[in-house]
Amino acid sequence: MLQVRNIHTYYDNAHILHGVSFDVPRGSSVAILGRNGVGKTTLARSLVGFTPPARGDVIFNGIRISRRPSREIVRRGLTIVPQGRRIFASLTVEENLRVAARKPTEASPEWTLGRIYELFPRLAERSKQWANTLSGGEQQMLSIGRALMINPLLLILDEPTEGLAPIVVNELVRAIGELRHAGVSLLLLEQRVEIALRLADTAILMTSRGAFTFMGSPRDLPAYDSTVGGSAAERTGSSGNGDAA
Amino acid sequence: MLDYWTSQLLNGLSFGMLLFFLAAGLTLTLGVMRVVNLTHGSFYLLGAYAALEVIGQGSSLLVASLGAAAAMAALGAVVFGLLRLVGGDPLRQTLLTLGLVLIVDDLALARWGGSPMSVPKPSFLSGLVEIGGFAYPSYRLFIIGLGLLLAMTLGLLQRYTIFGAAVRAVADDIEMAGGIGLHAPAIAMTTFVIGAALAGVSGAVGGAVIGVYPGADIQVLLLALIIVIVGGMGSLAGSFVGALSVGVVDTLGRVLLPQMGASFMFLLMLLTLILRPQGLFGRTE
Amino acid sequence: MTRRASTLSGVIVAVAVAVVVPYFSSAYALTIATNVLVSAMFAVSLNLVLGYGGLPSLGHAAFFGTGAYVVALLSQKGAVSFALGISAAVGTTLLLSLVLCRILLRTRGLYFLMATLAVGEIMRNVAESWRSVTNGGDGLYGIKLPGWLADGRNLYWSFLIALIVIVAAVAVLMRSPFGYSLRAVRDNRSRTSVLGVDPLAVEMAAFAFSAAIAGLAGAMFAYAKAFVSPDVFSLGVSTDAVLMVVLGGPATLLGPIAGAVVVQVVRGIGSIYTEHWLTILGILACLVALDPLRYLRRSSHMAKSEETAAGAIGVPLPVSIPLATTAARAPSASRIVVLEARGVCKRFDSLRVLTDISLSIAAGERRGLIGPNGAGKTTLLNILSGIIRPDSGRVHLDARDITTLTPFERARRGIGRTFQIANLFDKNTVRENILVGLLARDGQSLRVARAVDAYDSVQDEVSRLLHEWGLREWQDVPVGLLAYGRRRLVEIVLAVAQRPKVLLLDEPAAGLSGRETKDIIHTVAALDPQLSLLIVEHDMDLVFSVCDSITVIANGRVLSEGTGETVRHDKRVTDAYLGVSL
Repeated sequence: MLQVRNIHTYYDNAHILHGVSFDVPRGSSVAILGRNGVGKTTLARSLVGFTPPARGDVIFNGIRISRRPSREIVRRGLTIVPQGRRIFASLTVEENLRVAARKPTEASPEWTLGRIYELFPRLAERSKQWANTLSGGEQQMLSIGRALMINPLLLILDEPTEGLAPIVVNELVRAIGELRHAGVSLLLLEQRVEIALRLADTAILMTSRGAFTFMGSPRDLPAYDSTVGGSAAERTGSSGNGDAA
Repeated sequence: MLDYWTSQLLNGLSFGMLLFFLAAGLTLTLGVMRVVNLTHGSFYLLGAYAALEVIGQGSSLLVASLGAAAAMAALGAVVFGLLRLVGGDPLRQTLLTLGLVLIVDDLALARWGGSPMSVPKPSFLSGLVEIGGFAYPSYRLFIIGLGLLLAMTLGLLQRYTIFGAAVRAVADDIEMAGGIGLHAPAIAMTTFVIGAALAGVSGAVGGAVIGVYPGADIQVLLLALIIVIVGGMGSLAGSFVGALSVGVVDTLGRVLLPQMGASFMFLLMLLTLILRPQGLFGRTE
Repeated sequence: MTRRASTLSGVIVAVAVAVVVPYFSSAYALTIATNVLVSAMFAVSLNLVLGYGGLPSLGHAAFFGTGAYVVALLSQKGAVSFALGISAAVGTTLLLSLVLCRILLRTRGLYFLMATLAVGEIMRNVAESWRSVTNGGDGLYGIKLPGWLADGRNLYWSFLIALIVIVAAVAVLMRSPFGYSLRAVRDNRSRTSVLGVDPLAVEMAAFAFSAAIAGLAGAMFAYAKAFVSPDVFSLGVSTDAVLMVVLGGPATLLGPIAGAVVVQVVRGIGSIYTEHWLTILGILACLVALDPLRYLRRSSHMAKSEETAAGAIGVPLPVSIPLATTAARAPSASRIVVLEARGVCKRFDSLRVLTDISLSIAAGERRGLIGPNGAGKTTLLNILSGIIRPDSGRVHLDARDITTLTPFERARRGIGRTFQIANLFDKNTVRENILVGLLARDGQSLRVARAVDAYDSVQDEVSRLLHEWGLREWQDVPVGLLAYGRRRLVEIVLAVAQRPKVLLLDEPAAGLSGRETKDIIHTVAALDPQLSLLIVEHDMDLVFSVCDSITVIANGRVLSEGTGETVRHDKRVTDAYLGVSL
């Protein structure tokens, strides 16, 4: 579904991603774990066209999308639930959803307004409210719902549980789990191992500048002490392709 | 006595409505794309001259207005394209639009000469109407009515249609708008073109009241800018309230203290900048 | 021939040509030449705020016209001495600008542009409507010149001398600390204010000086034309000047003059041959704006930056930083609180970002601030450095309440800060960046008399810092072209050179490679032990090796506080990072 080949992305002059490569097979759920600052968000932004990669290729559903404008990438079925939610404050809940609506590109059940409201009943209750009056968790639900209205083939979620209370996190994890069952491919970018364990088939451990130190089943994740930051392997200094010096 | 003030108030309102035509397009464009555009007044000028030509051929005001709108929409698309080419530097945008204004001024002067002209009113609107005991020009009432109609239409479009929602989304967060598949440049262009068309219509309709002459484009641009400052950039409601306020303040001001001339609305603008820089309905950035 | 020498010889030639012009010109040509001088003076004045200051003023005609009208009005009472006329014009304009800039400088960018435009028009309206004084649209005549100036050639030469003097003054100004500060404010307002320079004061001073010169130009205009009408305030006059400045090259000494020459010559000669010289000018303006040549320039610039960047990354940062100081750090016995936050709360719209945050940092203490993303750490730093205000709660520095102070006031009192994304003056060299910082620290930023090159002690200190921190070979490289790790280093040097009491470091390791991170850890560890540090970080290596104590923030509240060991084993902290059991 998604093939990322050796992408290099810069932010101003900072070389954030040094040759990142990985795959997300159709119908699977991949979690990329890493503490803050390793470049997870830059990766998400590179894939969806906000900060295009300077070099390398991104192939989605057989089509090269590497440096295409975001609207084109999104219309082909790769959508994003960005970090910080970024819902449109001047629109109501329902408008946020409707404005993103698109017909599905492949024969799979359509994500309609009704289905989104079933998934997130709280949004149905608040459908006529202005989006910026919602709580953090509700805004996150809205952001996910909005991305679904595009009827995506692959959904990128950048730290969906960040800054949310545990109860809300639970609800969100349940909802994302339902997406999985509905056949949406997922790329999850997270700090928290627990989330990955619940939602992903494959886990990738990302360390400085897009180096991957682990790729496999979440159950096999090495002793990942996220508080201290990084795996034991990282701390002993054997980082992959991250050091440009 | 009351009749006198009522008629002055109506004058202010009708002037304000014309200003609303001008300002509405400008404020929406500025809300969606922060770009310096000095050509907005030129759309008025050319719209008025175009209407003159069309009516001169024997058509009605309606056809003339539609013609002006269409012509200015096309011109607006061209200006938008050039602005896209210039990019984000406000100095360059100023220089480009300035250059365009110079070209338009020169060519308009060559084609239509330097004497002030006014667009002829349709005969059925040239008379007076009885309001509560005094007579008032029907054309001005027509302008007030048209303005209200326009305000409602634009308001409904912006608030209740998906296109309106898309415009608001682009104004909120242009990157994320692309991130949900919206064609932000197309939306920006449509807004710009609508603004230009509206300015053209204000030329056709207002040309009978304000008239058209070399230098009118700058005068009109200034009025539009003042309203955008007072009302708040990007707010339709703001431009409506702002336009009416400016219209009334200016008209009544000239009546009360004629030697101050047009200074009243400038003072209103300065007051806004001092007390509430983002305008009545504007966002604090 | 060096660039300087060739520019200088070019200038001498130009002046020589200008001097002899009257000998070879018809009366008409002399008029054009005189117009050129007047326009050039006006363009130079606008360049000060537009080019060097970055303030898009579309209403400078307000000052030009004021100068012209003052001269015209004085002349109505009878012949007035030239000196008096000029002084009155300049003085009045200066006063006017001081009044106006308080209002105008509350606005930025597009709003500023619109506001200045409106000011110009107000003046025009006043001139037109106030018939009793200004004779309205008919204008004022009868502006007489003292005998010897009545000769067109003498007038021309006097104007030429005036222009040369003013341009020389601007040159001196731009090489003084004030000139550097002005450009710093234009390029990076937030950084300048964090360095302890008041951006508003700088802008106001530039604005006033610019207005005075514009008033002088207006007076010159009145004397040359002997007639003044409200058109002198028109938008056309302001926009002409904008055209000249941008055409000729903004923020250069001679650009506005070149622009003035081009525009006036096109106008003067064009109007002989065609009626449509305005269209020609318009097309010229559009072409300059569209700048087709920029695509050529951009590709060469990108090649250059990658070159330098490639070279930069390859060289490891030297570890010549004195390490002795690390060993000298003994745990501080007396706890003198330097920086303190009490009960700080902040919400953005309906989102509560910080709830009841209290933390205190002692002299010499190194505190780490960690927490999951979105916990509010950067917001807290912004509140401490003054970029945003808390909704409730207080901030104290040395027991003094600083909650309402602006960033530059806090910088003056000893709060230094680095930013998450290296925030420097990208177009300036490493040397210039540090220079600006040191001048700000010494309160010299607004000095105009001496060129920065002449500030020997400061220049020596810059050289010393560059050497100490291993930046000497990069001193003349524009900061924007450096490798990221080196930019981060420059930022830290800049902050430390301010000699703050407390240094707030916002994710110093962000965006750095593994190798660069190790170097930054060294650098931070080797900082002055008496300097208190508050470090927001995600890189736990840095936090645990450098910090004495750590505060953990999650969901906008302080979750835990203590030494590295305490925090690492606090279950609440591990839960926050891993997520409460689901």
